[in-house]
Amino acid sequence: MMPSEHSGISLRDTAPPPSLGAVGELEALRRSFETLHRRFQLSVAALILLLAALNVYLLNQVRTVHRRAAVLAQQITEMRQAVANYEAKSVPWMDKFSGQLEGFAKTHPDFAQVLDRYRRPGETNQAQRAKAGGAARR
Amino acid sequence: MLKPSSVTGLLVLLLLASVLVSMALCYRYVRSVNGAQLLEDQAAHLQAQVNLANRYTAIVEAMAKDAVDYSKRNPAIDPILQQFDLKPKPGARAGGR
Repeated sequence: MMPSEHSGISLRDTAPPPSLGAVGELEALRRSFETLHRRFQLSVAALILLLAALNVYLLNQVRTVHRRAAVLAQQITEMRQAVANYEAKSVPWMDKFSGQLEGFAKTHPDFAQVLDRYRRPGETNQAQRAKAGGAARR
Repeated sequence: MLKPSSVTGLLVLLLLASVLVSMALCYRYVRSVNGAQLLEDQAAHLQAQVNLANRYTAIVEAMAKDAVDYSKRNPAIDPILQQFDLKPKPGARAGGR
């Protein structure tokens, strides 16, 4: 018969108390765990702040890019209108006008000299305008 | 008062949420920049066309000016200039449209 069964004292109660050195070690371990835990929390908080700053920066950048895109879209619309207007009105007018001047120059050599200033070597004015119109259409 | 472990859990959750928001914003930023780049290419292409059109318009304007100057020496060109409203038609009131 074991003595502990009769006296009602458990083994745990009868376990020898931790020595003073072990208590000191446990306390030191607890303190270093708490320090580590606090440092971990601080690191996570710092990361959150860093990410918040990054998010604000990215949001500003996205807004700036959107504003720039809106301005570009407006400019593109205006330039498309200008090119369409040029193709629809100016190109036919210029073709007709230069065609008539070319015809006049055939019968008036002195005017042909004036027109020659606007010709590239081996190219007629109409060919030049056709090139401009073609470039605008592209 | 919150336990230290619940504060840590909350912080980690906040960190995860921040990371997710950052990733979403990065994705949006990259898409916006790509879209803006496409628009810039389109605008540059159109600008080149407008510049070319302006250049040829200037050439034809100079040609018209020379033709008007030539008409002072040889009025035979006047019908062409009048047809394109570069010179007033005979009988038209001066200054009137």
